[in-house]
Amino acid sequence: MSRPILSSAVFQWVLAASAGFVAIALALLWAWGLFSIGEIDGALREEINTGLEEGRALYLTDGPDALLEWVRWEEDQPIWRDDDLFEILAEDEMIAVLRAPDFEPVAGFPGLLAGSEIEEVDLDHPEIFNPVLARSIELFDGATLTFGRFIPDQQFEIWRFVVTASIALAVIVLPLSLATGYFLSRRVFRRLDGISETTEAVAAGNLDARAQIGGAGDEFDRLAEGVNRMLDRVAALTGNIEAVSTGVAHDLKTPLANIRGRLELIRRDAADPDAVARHVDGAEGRLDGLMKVFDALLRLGEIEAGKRRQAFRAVDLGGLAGELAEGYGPAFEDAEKTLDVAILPGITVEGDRDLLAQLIANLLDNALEHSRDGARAHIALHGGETGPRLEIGDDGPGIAPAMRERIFERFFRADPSRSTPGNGLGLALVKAIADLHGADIQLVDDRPGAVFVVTFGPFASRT
Amino acid sequence: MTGLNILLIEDDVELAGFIEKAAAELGWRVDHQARPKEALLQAGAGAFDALILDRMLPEMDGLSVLKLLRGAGVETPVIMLTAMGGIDDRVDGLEAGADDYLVKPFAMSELIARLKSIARRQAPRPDTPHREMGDLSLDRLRHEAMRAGQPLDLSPLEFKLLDILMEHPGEVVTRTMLLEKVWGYSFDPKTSLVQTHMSRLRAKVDKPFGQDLIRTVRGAGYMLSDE
Repeated sequence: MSRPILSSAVFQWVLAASAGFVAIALALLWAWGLFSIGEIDGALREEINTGLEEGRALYLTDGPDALLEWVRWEEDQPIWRDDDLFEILAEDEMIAVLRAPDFEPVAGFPGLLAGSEIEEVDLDHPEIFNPVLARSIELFDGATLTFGRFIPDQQFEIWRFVVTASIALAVIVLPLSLATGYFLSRRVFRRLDGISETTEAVAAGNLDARAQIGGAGDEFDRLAEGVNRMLDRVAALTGNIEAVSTGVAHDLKTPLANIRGRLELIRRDAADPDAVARHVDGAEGRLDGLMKVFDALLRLGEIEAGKRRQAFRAVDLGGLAGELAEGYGPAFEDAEKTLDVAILPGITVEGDRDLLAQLIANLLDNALEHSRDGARAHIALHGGETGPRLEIGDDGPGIAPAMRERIFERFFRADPSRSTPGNGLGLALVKAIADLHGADIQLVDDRPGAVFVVTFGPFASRT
Repeated sequence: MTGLNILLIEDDVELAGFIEKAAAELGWRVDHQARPKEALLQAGAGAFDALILDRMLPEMDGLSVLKLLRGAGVETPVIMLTAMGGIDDRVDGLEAGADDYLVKPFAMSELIARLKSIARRQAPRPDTPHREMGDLSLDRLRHEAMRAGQPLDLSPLEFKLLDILMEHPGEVVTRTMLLEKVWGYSFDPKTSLVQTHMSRLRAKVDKPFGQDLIRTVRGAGYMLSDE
């Protein structure tokens, strides 16, 4: 793996997710720990306070002797011995001490000392070191009563559990997530490498390279399919450019050579004005042809850039088709061909009038130019099922099946000798204009002759 | 027509030379300016019949020059020359106030014909309902054409072509001008619609009457003349 794993997005996401998970787990753990300890602590405090209040009440109602009796260990022994404390600890009971105003303990465990607020204190005991929560209150004649409770081990266990669990989380989860991140990244890399190798191969010039599809239909497959589709389109466009280059080489160089030849003829025939005029006419004709190729290429570029779509407005397609049919009718007659017109009025599409006119004109040019002698051509426009349907065609000889696929390509000529007039851009323009209008164009093959059907989308029409 | 007085704003010296030469042959006077700023001053000061303005000039583009001129109230007719033949370029030029627009390369005869056409617009001709030329007359309201007292059976397109020719008697109207005016498309169809309809028009207007009014001007276009 040449790529650094650490900078992988997947790796970083796994780490971030793990860190987030650990943080949440720690927060929950600590919240639970603090809450539990608080509960225990609160219960102890309440017990201490209640005990003290009870002692004070006993003192007030029944006098000091009653209190003394309450605190003392046994009848004859008010002061608790160190040994008694073991019993208290085992039974988890209250430790108490009652002190006279001179602070001398009169009953209870003398080793218990605490202030007037509840605090954690250590007992003055030779063997027991457990911390005690304790508080003292002053009785009315200056005597003090102190109560205390051993802090239960449970609290320390909770603390220990919280701290151990925290460390464990950090120690176990972090390496685990590093490992997960590493392996996950590697898997993703392996899937993506196939795709990036493909794009690199294409960049290096191998236009046929395609990404492998795993077949699982997952997001990687979808990405690979998308890349492949894009590459297909790029290959098609590149093919276009190649066709253009070849076309430019042939269709531009031939007339240029012709013009050059005619210039030489002009030099040679300078003494013969009629010959010069003929050469000039010929050269001008070739130049006009060249200009048409340039114009068509520029227009194709302009159309394919899609900018014209901003100028779309409602176009009376019926009116436009009728106008062109009227213009072309005599041209068909002059060529001893017929143009049948069947145009339903009132059909409107959203589009560019000038370009739509060119689409119709180019198809009519095609029908006029490439049909058999005495052919019957037709132009028809009607509503259609899904949208306006424009049909322009002739009754022969049509286009050889092997050529049908390619007729919309730039500079493609069904006549390989390129001797018939035309520059091979007319139908490419037709296709580009149809595409711009979201219209479908088909060369219908169920009839003799070349019949083109342009179907505009339902959204193209506007009533 | 007397010689026209023209201001040529063009940075391509060789092309400017061709234009000057062609204009001189017609007895026209041409002032050539390659720099837009000087040209602006001259256009504002001088009384020209027409301006030839290149769209791409050093320092300032032709469209801006045109907008400045029109903004300053200079109403001299302007024909724009350009190497840009895009679909919108023509519209941009006309919207900026150009009277006509010609894409390079062009035939000199095309430029001359268009210059004559726009220069004449200075004296607006009443849009008459009636046109006459020799024994040919046109009733534009009723769409009727007569020659030597006989009604001519013209198609609407043929009528339109004849109308344009009669609007410019004795002047060359080029094929492209006719295409633009009759059909109004920005492209040139492969099938020569103008030629097709013009030959039908001639068959109806000239052939039966012995005297040809419509003439083909070699390499340029058509002209209606009774001389």
